[in-house]
Amino acid sequence: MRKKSPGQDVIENGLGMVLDVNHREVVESCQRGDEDAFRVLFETHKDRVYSIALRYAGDSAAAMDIAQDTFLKLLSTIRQFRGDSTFESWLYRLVVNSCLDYHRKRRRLLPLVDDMLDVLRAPREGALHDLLREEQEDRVQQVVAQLPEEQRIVVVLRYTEGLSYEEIADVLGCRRGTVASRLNRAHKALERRLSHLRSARRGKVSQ
Amino acid sequence: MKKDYESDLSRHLRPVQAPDELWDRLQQSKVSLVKPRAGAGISWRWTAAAIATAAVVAGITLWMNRELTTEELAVSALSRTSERMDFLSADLAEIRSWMKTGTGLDLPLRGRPAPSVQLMGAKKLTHNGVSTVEIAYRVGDSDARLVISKAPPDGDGRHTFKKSGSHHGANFQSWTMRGQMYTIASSGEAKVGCMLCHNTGAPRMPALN
Repeated sequence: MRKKSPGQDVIENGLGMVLDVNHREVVESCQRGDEDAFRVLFETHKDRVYSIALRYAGDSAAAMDIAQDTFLKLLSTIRQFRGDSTFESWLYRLVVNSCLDYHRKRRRLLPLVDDMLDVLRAPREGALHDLLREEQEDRVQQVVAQLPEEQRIVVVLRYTEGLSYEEIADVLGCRRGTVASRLNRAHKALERRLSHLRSARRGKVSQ
Repeated sequence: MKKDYESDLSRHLRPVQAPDELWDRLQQSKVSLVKPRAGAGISWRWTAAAIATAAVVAGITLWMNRELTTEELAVSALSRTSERMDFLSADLAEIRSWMKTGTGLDLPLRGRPAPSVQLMGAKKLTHNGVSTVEIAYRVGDSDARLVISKAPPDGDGRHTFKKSGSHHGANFQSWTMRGQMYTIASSGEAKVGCMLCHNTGAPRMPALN
């Protein structure tokens, strides 16, 4: 994973201090209920957790909910972490579960809420330029957010976290071939949808 | 084409910084972030052990301080052989007179004690709020105590036996008669204690209640 060395991490805290963090010691302290250790874990992994949540859910409010849920799960279950896998893998599973939980909760509210949001999001006359600019900036994330959840989480772990196929398989508890298959389908879907967006944008621009 | 997408995806889905509010939101959530303190489990076990010990000690104290039955009082008196008597006398008539004067309790005599009875004396005490007399004597090799206290009048003036048994290696027997409660405890057979008043031996004992 994108780490400096096994079991080691380097973080910069709010005071500008660079902390050498030995994960095992910090995790063990956190397991004993040390709040300072929890804070260190939080500071070390908050960006990673939030990034996955944001890229998965597609909006910052949902990402905050997912990240919060993840760290609360971490706090309540860290005593169950026995070091059979790396802490990062364990944390990834927590994030993935939080993402899937969020997806399930949100799915119960659909389609009614989404229909309402679509009405509210309808572009106004004269806002075309802004819309195109936003599409340019956010289109990839929007398209990713529309992928089926099993493809979406693979894409996020692959491109946000840079995990290998093997690492994704470990986090998700599936085979490497399954990861490859999901990624392949995700690539095709993304290619199709991004091309469609690109064509639509070109058509609108040429009008 | 695939490579382009991968590069594009990595760029657009790159990691971002978490908002600072995330920690505040965590703190505001009601899940306990309070440090349980290292060794909290041990403290909990020590607390539980202390409570259990306190409960046992309290139970023992309550047991020891509880109101003894007359039978238990008589048996426990056997172990206090060296304890000073309030009235030292080897004469049963003197003891009877002393106790009648001091407590109003009586010892109805049917004759002289058996020759094997050696009187030591008597002691006044209050047991369960009731004036009580304890008479110490020996019958042969056995220590014996007769405990007399007031009791509700019942029966026809004859022995109404209450309890018979053993406790802490001593034998006891209790009865009521003419508004008094009598309990004999003996390190030997309970009936040897009867020889204080019945020089021919124990009276016939009907079935106990």
